[in-house]
Amino acid sequence: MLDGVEGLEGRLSALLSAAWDDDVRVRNLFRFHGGAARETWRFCAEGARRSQWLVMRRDPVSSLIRTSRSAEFHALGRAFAAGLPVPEPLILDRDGERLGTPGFIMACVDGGRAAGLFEADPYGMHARRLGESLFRAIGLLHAVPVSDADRRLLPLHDPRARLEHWASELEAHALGPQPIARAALRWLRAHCPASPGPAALVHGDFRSGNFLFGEDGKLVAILDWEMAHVGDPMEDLAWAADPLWSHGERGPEEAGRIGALLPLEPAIAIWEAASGRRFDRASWTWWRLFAGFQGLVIWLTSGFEVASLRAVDPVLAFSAYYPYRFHNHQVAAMLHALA
Amino acid sequence: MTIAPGDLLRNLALGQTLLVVPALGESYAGKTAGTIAAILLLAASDIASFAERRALSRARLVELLGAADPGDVALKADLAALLAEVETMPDDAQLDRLLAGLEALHGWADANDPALARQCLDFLLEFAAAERLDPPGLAT
Repeated sequence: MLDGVEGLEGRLSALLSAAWDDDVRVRNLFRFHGGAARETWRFCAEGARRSQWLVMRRDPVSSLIRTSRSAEFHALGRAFAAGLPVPEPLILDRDGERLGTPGFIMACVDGGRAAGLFEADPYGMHARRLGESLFRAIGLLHAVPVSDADRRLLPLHDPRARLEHWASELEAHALGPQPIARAALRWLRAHCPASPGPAALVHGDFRSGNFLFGEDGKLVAILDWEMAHVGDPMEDLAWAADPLWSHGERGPEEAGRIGALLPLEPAIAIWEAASGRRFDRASWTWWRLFAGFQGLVIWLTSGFEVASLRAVDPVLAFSAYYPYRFHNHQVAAMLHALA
Repeated sequence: MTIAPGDLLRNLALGQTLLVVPALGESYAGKTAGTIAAILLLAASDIASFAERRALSRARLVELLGAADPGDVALKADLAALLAEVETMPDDAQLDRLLAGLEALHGWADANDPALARQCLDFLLEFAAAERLDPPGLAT
């Protein structure tokens, strides 16, 4: 953490006092667990004329992945404007002058919870309804026309650029031999598809665990937009279908449910109707392997941070341990099946 | 009586789960204590067969690299040198060195020798399956 609770209260108070032209006090500061890529805090801001529960996200000292808070703020704003269930982004501190590191403040979403990685059947009887809401929402995001501002403020990643992004991360962070990741990279480079249609706004980390749901099965909010970019929407579908996020269920190709929510076919149908796009079966295998490769690189980046003692958050150690080995096996099995 | 490392880790995880996590509740510290408990449980399970698994993987790799006959003279010489070097290395360092050799061999085989590439993939799948961790649980 950059500074203690009192230091952060002071930063937030100064930022909001200036933004609201009021004398704002900050209370009930609470740090959320997880979301290893960022520091996320909830608090209540109280001024003389208004009070509001808010959430602040800022860059940590060390992180799983390097992304831009400005880009995340922009993507969140685009999703909010499109009517998706997301927190409203409010104040951006692009350079970290106020927050200590780059970050932003958004409205706090009331209620809901996120599913845990090891939680079996977390959505229970509401799985179908929730899955329908979720794949409709991501379809609506993919239906938003990409604007000039999107191209200026978000990373532009067609499939090859996306692959090379993670290839460079692999080169930078592999502390030892990675024969499975490198074999996957060779296959992905040799079979890279062209984008099937117009580029879309891609969430980049769309999966079970990154959205809040209510006890009644309502989709409350889609979170964690830090990996948003302009690219191929198939990426979001493939990442959601990765078995790491399936809560122990079989993969979608074996009639399991994506994220313990919906089988693949109804999820695709809902997404196609909402997005106005066609599911690209020709590139599905590529994106599924890409998802595993991306996961592997994220987790070994986490291991790099832990091994170099740049980070002490056990979430990073966990990521380098269980998910890394999960994806090493998953990717090896996919390559074996493709051979 | 000496407590086995796996039992020790499992006991620590139990302590985290039953004593520390409830005391800290839903706070960041409480959730972090839960993560530590999960890591301890994974490590307790992992450590039980770690040495045996790694020894088996080393032996399989020595066999695979030793039997491989890539049609690339430089690669073949590199592998021979690697196998000789590994014999003098401590156990912990051997596996990484052997995996580096496999990485080079597999890269060459992917482009030149599908049957050898298949053997490399067979090993990698077996290795990764053995290394995969079960979700953490308090039961032994």
